[in-house]
Amino acid sequence: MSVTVTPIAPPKTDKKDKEKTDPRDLRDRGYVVICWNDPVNLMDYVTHVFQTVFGWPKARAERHMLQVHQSGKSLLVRETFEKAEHYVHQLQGYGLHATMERE
Amino acid sequence: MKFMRPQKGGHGVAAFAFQMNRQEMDWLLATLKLYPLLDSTYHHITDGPAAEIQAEQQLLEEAMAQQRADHRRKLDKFLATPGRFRLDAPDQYRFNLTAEQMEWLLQILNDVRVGCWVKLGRPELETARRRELTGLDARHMAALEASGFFQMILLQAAKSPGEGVSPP
Repeated sequence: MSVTVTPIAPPKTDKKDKEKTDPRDLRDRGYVVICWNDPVNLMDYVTHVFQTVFGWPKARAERHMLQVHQSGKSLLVRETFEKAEHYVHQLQGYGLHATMERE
Repeated sequence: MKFMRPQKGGHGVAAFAFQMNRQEMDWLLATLKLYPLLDSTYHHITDGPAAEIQAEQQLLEEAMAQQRADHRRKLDKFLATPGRFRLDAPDQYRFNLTAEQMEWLLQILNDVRVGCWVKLGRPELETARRRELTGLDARHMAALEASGFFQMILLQAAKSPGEGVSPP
């Protein structure tokens, strides 16, 4: 999976921008949450965290965990700015190396 | 340390029961005593340049600092509860965890594990295990392994709550 990412500066919402673009287009699922590999988090732990934070079934959580392990990263979700930020807080609260990037 | 079958805790709350010997209990307490090891600056909200998102970065650091303070309070209260580790049989101590306690204890153990890894210089673990470590590094490596050991037992319990050892 190819992921193009840029810095995550929140979308501008000044009047000028609003006239040009519907803010919902900018804020609606324009952010990706990525989990990066590290050698220290246990594989079972990462699976458990994905299940807990996203409510995923075990098979899906394991698929993403293996992608992190084998490919170095996994794109977990596409979300709005606020939700992506929320998920990053959750994942980092568990000690995972997770970031949000603008697509 | 071994996971026992889930028991009904106080107020009907399902609890996970664990049994461990004195040496394991000493290891667990010594590991928990290290918490927190990571500091807020460990966390980065993005892989890109941080300058553009200073407010969000600061928010993340504050949230992590708050979480660690909350967890430390919960842990202190948990450990101070009389009879927390009950002598069950010769050299066998039992303690119970609710599902909520399991969750924050996993986070605490992982903080110690990742924190030790950071203090060791973020090595590949197999490389670090082969190195001859002394002093503080040896203690960090031991705590890293110990926290992983306890994490695995908690994770096994969370994963297969019906598969623990039956209580005598």
